Amino acid sequence: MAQGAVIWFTGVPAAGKSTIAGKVQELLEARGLPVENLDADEVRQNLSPNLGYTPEARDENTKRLAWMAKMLSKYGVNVLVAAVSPLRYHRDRAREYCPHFVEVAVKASLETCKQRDPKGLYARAERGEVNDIAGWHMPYEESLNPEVVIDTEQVSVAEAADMVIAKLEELNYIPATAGAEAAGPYSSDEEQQVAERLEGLGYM
Amino acid sequence: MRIPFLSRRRSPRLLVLGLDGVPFSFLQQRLADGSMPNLAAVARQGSFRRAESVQPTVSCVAWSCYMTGQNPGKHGIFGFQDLRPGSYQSFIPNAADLQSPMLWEILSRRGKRVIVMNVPVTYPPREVNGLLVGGFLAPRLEGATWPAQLASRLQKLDYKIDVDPWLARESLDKFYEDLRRTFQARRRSFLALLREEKWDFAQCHIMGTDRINHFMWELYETGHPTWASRFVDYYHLIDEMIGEISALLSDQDMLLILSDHGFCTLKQEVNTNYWLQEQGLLVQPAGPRPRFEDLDEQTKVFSMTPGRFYLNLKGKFPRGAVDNQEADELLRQLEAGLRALRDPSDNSPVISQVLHRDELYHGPAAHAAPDLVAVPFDGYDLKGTLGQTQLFSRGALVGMHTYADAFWLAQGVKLADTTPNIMDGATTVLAMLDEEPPPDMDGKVLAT
Repeated sequence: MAQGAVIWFTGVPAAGKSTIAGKVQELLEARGLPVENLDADEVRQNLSPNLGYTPEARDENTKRLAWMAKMLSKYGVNVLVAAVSPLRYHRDRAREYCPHFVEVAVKASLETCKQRDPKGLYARAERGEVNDIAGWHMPYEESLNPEVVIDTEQVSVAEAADMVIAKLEELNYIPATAGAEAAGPYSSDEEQQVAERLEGLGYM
Repeated sequence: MRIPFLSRRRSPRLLVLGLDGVPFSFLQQRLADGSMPNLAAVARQGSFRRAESVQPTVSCVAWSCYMTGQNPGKHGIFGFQDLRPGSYQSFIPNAADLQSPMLWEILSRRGKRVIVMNVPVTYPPREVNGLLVGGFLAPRLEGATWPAQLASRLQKLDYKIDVDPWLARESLDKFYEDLRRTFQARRRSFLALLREEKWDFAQCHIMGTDRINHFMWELYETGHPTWASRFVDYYHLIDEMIGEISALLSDQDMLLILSDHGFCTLKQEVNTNYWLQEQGLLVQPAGPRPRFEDLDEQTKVFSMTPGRFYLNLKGKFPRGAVDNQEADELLRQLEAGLRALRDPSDNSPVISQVLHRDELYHGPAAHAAPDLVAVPFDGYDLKGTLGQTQLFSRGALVGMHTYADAFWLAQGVKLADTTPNIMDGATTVLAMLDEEPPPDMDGKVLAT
């Protein structure tokens, strides 16, 4: 059975990891590929609700996620993991476990994350109820060599998901499709013809 | 007391004639020398205004603004060539990429019957209540019309989408003949549809004016012994069409004739990617025809025609080279460098304005816009072709677009006493037809 890819989205809370993972999931499913989305918060709620949020507990949670991803991907499932995973070794350990590993660094400024705040986490921190947000109170170690970097203040969700899919194709982790232009109204001959007309006018 | 039946007026009809790239100042001269008498007759009864375009000043962006009433940050068209999101893969944006409803789609939904011919960025055709023929981004007539059967009706009239710009390099005579034939077929076809179809709104777009200006403007302006008069003769054909259209309209009908940008003589083409290379900000990919797809991490900034500059940002492009923290400083450096750019032949400055994305665009598509748009002084045409080996060059093109010398001429309605912008098109047209413009349009209503 073909090895599945493990696509690991890392970034501070509200950077956009789960949203992009959800979109990538849609695109992979639309291609008929097997996909499992392991959202860190959901896995925690279902598998280990009593785990807590100490550094040791967070470490344990990312380890469990990596191990699950490894097991699923071994059977051809493409696994999406959206987890803050603030320390480099969280991601490097997952990379060691999983042969087709794709690290996606999802970035946004603290200001933007505070504005988005889908889970109300930053608001709670503003009220003094939380003081352990990675990238604010706690260190977040930037990825050194991620396969994909996405700045969610620069690209839309759809574009971000396309970037991930393009990388998976480039690495031959999923079969490549005919390419974006095939989805448009032009055949490649027609596109060439129109491009030549535009070049003749100095517009290209 | 009013008797409803007798007092009922037919609802107003509007005909729009788009003359691509025709300058206000050029038409003023035609009015003065009497070479466009039908246009002069319309101007005597109507409002004639100098008008403004959009940045970057190219037809696909301008007419997209016209037909959506929106800035490019909403409709998503920023040039004739763009890159697929999150990649360096270039493509030609067309109607499938336009993210907002077109004027005639709005009118169609409100029960108006429309005829739309040859407007840029209307291919592939979208459904309308009436007839639509796509513009010059269509590879051929077949498949470019709504409904599809319209194509065979137009084929019988020898309808042709556009002239061949490469002919101009081969022979100006052949090119001129192509211009005439293409125009006459379009004129014949549009007038046939006007006569044979019921319509509330009709728009015909003449692309040939932009084409003749690109290849002959300098010959006209410098008074070439044969081509200067043949140039004006072409405009005389357009004047004949204006006469025929005017004769078809009733007293209640309205007419709007407008252009999307002006024109001037091209002094120099300025190869902006070569300039970036000189600044150490771009490494030209190797090979005879380098593509944007071949750019790598050594490139911090690249540009696309005309004057669109993009930071090769990490997180935005796959081989990004610029961190967010250094982006502002890089933009400052770029802006200062562009402002300092001079034409070595006479030391005149090349760039009149450097505009940032946030100053020009707002809306859901704005993130796909260039980071900077450089606006040249008239005469300097900014080209983003990769692989150029000199900063300044000249080719077959002798005319280029200008921002501030477009025109609007309206008959049957008075235009507000202000400078129209191409983005005011859809809002004004809707108001002329007593229709409320949708709230997300950015244009002003200029019909008073």
